[in-house]
Order: sequence, then structure tokens, then C-alpha cells
Amino acid sequence: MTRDRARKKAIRARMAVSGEPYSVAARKLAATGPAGGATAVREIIVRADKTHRNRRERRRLAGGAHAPVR
Amino acid sequence: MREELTHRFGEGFLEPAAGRYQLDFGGYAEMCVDGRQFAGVPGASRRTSHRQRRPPSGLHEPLGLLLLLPGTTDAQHVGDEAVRGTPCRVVAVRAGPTGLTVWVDDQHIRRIWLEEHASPWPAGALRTVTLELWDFGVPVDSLDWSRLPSFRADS
Repeated sequence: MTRDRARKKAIRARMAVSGEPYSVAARKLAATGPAGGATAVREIIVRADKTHRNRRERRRLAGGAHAPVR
Repeated sequence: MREELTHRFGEGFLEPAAGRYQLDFGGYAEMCVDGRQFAGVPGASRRTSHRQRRPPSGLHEPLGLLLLLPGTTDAQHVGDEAVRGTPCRVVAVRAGPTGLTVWVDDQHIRRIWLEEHASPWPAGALRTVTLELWDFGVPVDSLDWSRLPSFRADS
């Protein structure tokens, strides 16, 4: 995944959450600095580790198109 | 059209530490246990259900999605949104070649959203997968791992 694709994905993710148009979401994300912040990366890895170690979870899998696909 | 036709929704239980899960999609159920994946009619015995050939580690099943995240290389906070009433931070994540959107609360991963091109056919079609996690730590001792789940039919 190229950095530009990652940036566009981040913009689309913000659009989905905030309802902002592309240009606004892109501007606001640019103002928060580039991706790859050590704090954000660590946050994801720590949460993933806690979630993975949790013995029991109820979960739901929903496929916007299909999930899983065979 | 294809999205509408192939839309599926499943619900069930996941034990990441044990590497197993069971999901009921309604007319179809899926289970992963002891590193093997089974699928078939809800309620069917594991012995008579169809064993999947592919290992249960793909992007379209819960363990595979969760296992991507420890390999996160880039992440950017893109907003805040509640998941099932719990305030979450929304983070755009890059884990190797895969881009994901992840919702986290102060302890756990609460939702993972993946969008990818459903190549090679149909051209331009997008496939989205959403994994949502809740009720952490609920007792699941009564779960029957010898049969495919049938929560939806039972309820």
C-alpha cells in the first residue's frame, strides 16, 4: 500500500466518521500531521494485544458485500 | 447489485486466545477450532459439516483481521465515534499492504472495517468487511464446539 493510497484511505475514513466532504477531511487530516505517529501505532498494537488475550468475546461479523467469501 | 446479492451478516462468539470462533449467518454457519475451519448448515455436527481447505487466517474472517493489527506500521487518528454506546477513537491503520479503519476504546479493539477491490471479477467492485466486538469476557462455557452454531434459529 503506497503512502498516497494510505492517505486517501485515511481521508475516506474521516469522511465516513465526520460526514465532511473530501476536501475538508483532507485539509483537517493534513493539519493533524502525517500518519505513522508512534503514539497512534502503539495505541493500536496495545489494544490489539489486549483484545487478543481476552479469552472470551462476543462478536459480530457483517459484510458490506460478503463476508466471508468462499 | 452484487453487494446487495451477496450481503451477509453473522453473529457469534470469538475466543482469540484459544484461536477459535463460531459464527451463525442464518442459513449458513461457520466455525474455527483447533486450526481447522468448518462450514455448513447451522446446528450440523462438525463431523458432517464441510471442512474448509483454506487456513482460517484470511482477511475475511475474524482471527485473520485481528492478527493484522500487531503488524501496524502507520496509524492516524481520523475522528471519534461511539460503538454500541462506547466512545471510541477512529484510526486509519496501515498494516503492511492492507489499509483498515479501526475503532478503539480505552482497552479494546471495538470495530475493524476493511474495504478492498474484489478482484479479479467483477471489475471495480468493492468488498467491505466489518468486524465488531462487544461483551468482552462473557461466560461461554456452555458453547458447544462439536456443532456449528445456530444462535439465530434458536432465538
